[in-house]
Amino acid sequence: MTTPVLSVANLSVRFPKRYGAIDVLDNIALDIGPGERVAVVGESGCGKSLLGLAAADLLPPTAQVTGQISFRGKDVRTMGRRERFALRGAGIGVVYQDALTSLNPGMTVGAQLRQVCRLGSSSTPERLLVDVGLTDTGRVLRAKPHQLSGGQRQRVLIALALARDPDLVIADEPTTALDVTVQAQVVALLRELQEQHHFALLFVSHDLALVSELASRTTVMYAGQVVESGPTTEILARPRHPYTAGLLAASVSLEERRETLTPIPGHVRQPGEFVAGCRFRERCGNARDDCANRPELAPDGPGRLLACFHPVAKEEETP
Amino acid sequence: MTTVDAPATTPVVEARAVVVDYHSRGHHTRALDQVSLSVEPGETVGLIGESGSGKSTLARTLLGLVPPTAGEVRYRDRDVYALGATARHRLLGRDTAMVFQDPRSSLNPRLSVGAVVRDPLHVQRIGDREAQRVAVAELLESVGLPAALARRPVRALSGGQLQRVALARALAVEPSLIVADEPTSALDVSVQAQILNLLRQIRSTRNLALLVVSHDMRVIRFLADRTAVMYQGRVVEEGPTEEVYTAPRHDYTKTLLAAAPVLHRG
Repeated sequence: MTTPVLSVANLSVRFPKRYGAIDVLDNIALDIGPGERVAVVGESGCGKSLLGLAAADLLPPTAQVTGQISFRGKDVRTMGRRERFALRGAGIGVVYQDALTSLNPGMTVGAQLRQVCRLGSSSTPERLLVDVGLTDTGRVLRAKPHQLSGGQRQRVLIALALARDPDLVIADEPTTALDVTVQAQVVALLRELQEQHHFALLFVSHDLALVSELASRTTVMYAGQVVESGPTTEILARPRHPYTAGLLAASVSLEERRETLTPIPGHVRQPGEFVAGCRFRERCGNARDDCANRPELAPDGPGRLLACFHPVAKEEETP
Repeated sequence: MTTVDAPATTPVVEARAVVVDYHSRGHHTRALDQVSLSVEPGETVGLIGESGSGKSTLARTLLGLVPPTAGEVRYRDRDVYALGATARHRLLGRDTAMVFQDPRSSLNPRLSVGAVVRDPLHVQRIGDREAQRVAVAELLESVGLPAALARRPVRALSGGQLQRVALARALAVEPSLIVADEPTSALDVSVQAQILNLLRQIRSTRNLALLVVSHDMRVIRFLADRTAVMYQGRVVEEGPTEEVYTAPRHDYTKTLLAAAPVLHRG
């Protein structure tokens, strides 16, 4: 087996000052192989962005971390300062939701790209812009972020993330602030670039449809715990965890016109109010007494992991 | 639109060849270009388009908030902009309401939930204090919130609860028309489902005209009887929602539909 680009195992994160002994991320496991596209989905407050930050080695100093985050087989937390800096700068590229706040508003796009390329890149600012589909390079290089459209800015951000030839790109809701047609273009671009450059992609999103278009494997999170993971099409066609099934039943879709949607009752709690055991149990129709114990993430069919004592029955199709 | 068979009812609101120009520092932008659109009583109309297509400007113009450069807006067959500003706002303020995208920025976080819902009643001088208190409790319950929530501060509520409060406030004056501008875009999937169901339920129990502005075709398809597609300040296609979705005629509508992410399930 090849070494995964990113391997997260038994990862728990606490913020002692704010939430005391509560694991805001609780025993997370996630592997991404070279050139693989993996999605993390869940509602806001499920810890998916925090996991993205942990994977990028960008957790704030107030975080108390246990477990392993390995990059190309080496534990990030045993690395020296220099090595970690190199990892964050060159090994991992990051694309966030809001390009306007990610870019420096006072610097031209050219200056920002040159600054990154100078640190070592197989490409040039011009070539990077062409790669992300901004062919009017002269104008874009001279422009400041506010002079570009939202879609153009997001492309610039992707160019910056790719500048140092990373092995892993983490894209956290990269298209949420964009219009549908622009969103479709940016998603297509991400997929094209990924196929060309073979970087591994960690895609964080709340949109199941978008995830199904981009990721081959999906990890579903709820309240800081991984509830289920496996091949994306399998998970969406035959969800096993009641939370995944609930998300699907609540989604408005373009394909099927439903008369009413089935919302999941209640809402995601703040970490201070997480219940013990399975954290979804208070919103779950299948919950019984034993759910007060924490279900372990265990194999459930080929390539799938599940953490649930009372999953959705296998033959049952989703509503 | 030229309607061949004149409908039996008068539209609640109707835009006729409306043009809106925005001016700033010598530049002028045509935000709406000869737009016509009507909303019948009890009907839900979806307005879809991308940012900058003019959909929010149209919504505001229909509510009497943006005087058009040319064309007219008729509210229950009265020319809205022929009225003075005070008369216009009295007419529309009493009979229309708006729900915005993000309740955290559209509702005052320092007020109590009760004060937020009571405010339109107070401004419109509907009922005395006691009648308003009873009305607030009923309104909260009609959107699925416990009446006791009236005493809680706005900032203590979740996003989904706040959007319910925004709806209760909109319903306070018993309007004939509610304009909802991206009502669920800021919400999570399962909360979005709750609010969308609630909107449908309110619409059917109150015989209310609803104009839903959104860039999300999934939301419009779920809610709207009729859909108008806007592009660069014009309505490029308009018709029964199912027809617009299943047999789009304009190229731009086709592009929009093709761009929407589709759930692939094996």
